[in-house]
Amino acid sequence: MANKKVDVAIVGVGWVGGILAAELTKAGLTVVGLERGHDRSTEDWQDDHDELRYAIRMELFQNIANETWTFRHNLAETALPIRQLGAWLPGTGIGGAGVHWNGQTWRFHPRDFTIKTSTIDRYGASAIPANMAIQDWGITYDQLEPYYDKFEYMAGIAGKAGNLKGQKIDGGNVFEGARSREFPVRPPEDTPLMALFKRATKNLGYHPFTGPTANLPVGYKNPDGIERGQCTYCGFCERFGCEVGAKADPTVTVLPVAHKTGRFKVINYANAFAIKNDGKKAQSILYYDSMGRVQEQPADVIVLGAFVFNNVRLLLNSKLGTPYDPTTGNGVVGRNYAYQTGGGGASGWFEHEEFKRYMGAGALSAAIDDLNADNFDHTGLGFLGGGSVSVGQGGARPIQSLSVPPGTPAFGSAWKAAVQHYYKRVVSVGFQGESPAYKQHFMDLDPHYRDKFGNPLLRITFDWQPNERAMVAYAGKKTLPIMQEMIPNGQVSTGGPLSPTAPGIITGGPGSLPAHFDTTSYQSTHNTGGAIMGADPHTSVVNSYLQMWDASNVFVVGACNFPQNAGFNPTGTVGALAYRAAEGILKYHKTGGSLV
Amino acid sequence: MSDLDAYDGRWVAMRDGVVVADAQDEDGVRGHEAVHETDLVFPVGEPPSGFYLINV
Repeated sequence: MANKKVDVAIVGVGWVGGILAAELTKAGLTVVGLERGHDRSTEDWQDDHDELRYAIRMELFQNIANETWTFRHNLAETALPIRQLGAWLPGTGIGGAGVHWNGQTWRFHPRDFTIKTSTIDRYGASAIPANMAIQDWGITYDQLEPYYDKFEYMAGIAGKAGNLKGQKIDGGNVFEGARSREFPVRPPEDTPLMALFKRATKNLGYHPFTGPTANLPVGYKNPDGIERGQCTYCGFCERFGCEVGAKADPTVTVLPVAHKTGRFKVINYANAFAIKNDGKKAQSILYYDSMGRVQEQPADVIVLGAFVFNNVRLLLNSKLGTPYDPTTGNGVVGRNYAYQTGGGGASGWFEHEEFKRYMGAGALSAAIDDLNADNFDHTGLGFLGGGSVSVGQGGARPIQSLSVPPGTPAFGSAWKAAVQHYYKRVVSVGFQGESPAYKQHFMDLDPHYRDKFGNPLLRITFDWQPNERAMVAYAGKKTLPIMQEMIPNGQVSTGGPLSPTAPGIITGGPGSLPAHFDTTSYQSTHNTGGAIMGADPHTSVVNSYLQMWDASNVFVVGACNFPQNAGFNPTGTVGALAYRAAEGILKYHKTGGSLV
Repeated sequence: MSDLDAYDGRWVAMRDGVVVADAQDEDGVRGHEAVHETDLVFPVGEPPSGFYLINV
């Protein structure tokens, strides 16, 4: 027998599910959230700085013994299952990845939303490589701005505007799109490391600012009346839940609001595996309960608000929308898988300065945006795109933060001495680059491998492309001088011993990517695409309200909507899209039909 | 497109997805007679920097 029908049923109770639950229940709708994990709250993280448990054994992440992905670099390879978590770390449990994120909360650039049009306007159509599949989002930055604003005020994002209603403000990100008002919370104080980065980049002609953060530097009360205290800078954000609730996550922001209405119910240990539908409308969500029994949750509106991979897999397993075919270019579900491009950074080991790296917060950073997106002229460079450059003071956990200079012995007393000497003295200038979409990068159902319930796994086809290799090479040439400015007269490593008079040793230079994408080492959880948004049903899965073109009562929301990925962390944009979807669902609930 | 496995640790010049030259360093590949100014030139291999920026 099916569960009681509700107005809205949501798959996944992370940022998307939480925001939608709060907004829709406040408006009077009844909502059920299906979560494959269990309940969690701030109390679960008290005094639990257990790096082995959370960061190494990865307690908060998807259990891939139950469900994983298969991966291949191109159509000619046979995809194989990923049997250990590596390149990315999707969350599970109430709050989703919103519990274990760092808190970096960016807005994408106006150009990111019109990337194809903007690129052609500036460089001509021939500048876009033949197999690159970048496309406009079907929504502009200005249209999305009010929803960014809502997310930031709900979460209490700390920062300083660099563009307030068109007026550029020094000290903020002068490359950002216009904000309608200032950040809700002032930025955190500069640490000595952030101040050093800001001085160095300013000397080089860049425009440094404090990275926008969801780690509260001061107490904050949001428009829903939710109060949270300030960060203690314990340094255990990324891969951990916040023990004081200073890091914005769904369990301390939107979910309490939804529960307070009395109209929100969560079903834990609910593994959604299909959306029952007739090809035009959905009727219910089918899921396995904690005992492995099939259950059914009917609703007027179905929302897919899980991680990128789960949303796309659910659409494919449910035969909702037309699967993308890379050989013909037809179909939409699964197209435009994109990732995040790393490499291109520089590191420095200081001899005479210490930075108290054991203290920090996940998104405590200083950054420049001069090398991101199309903020610099790409004429003659041979590539499109860029990335954000930053130094972070996220906390240096005792197991994974033992970086030593090149040439240091890998074990023994010399290694121990180097670890002790450099623990507080090593700094990294990171580059987080764009990941354009390509025709040959996509997701579909694997024909061979299945999960523990017997359903096909998602198959991912992806590899590094020449454009990004050239971009990363360029980025590394820019981050090295920054590090050299931070350590004047520092010795650039050639693999030999450090000069006794050098004030530090530096690694960097033209950035590079491996011959093929490697799924085994952690790089980023910023996977995107597969259920992309747009203005054309032939090239997108959802419209600008994240409503499916093919099924008007199904909304698919998250980073799966990104037609390609920008050089920023995605959560700010995911949050904005969730607020946009909430507005769309309320409209749909009143009027029905397509919203555009 | 050319498979880059054979070029690990080297610089390559690529045109229309095909490697047209490779060398030990950037100057070597850019100076190669087969390389045009418009070719993409980049190194292949693990990044030289110490560690990844962790972003979850």
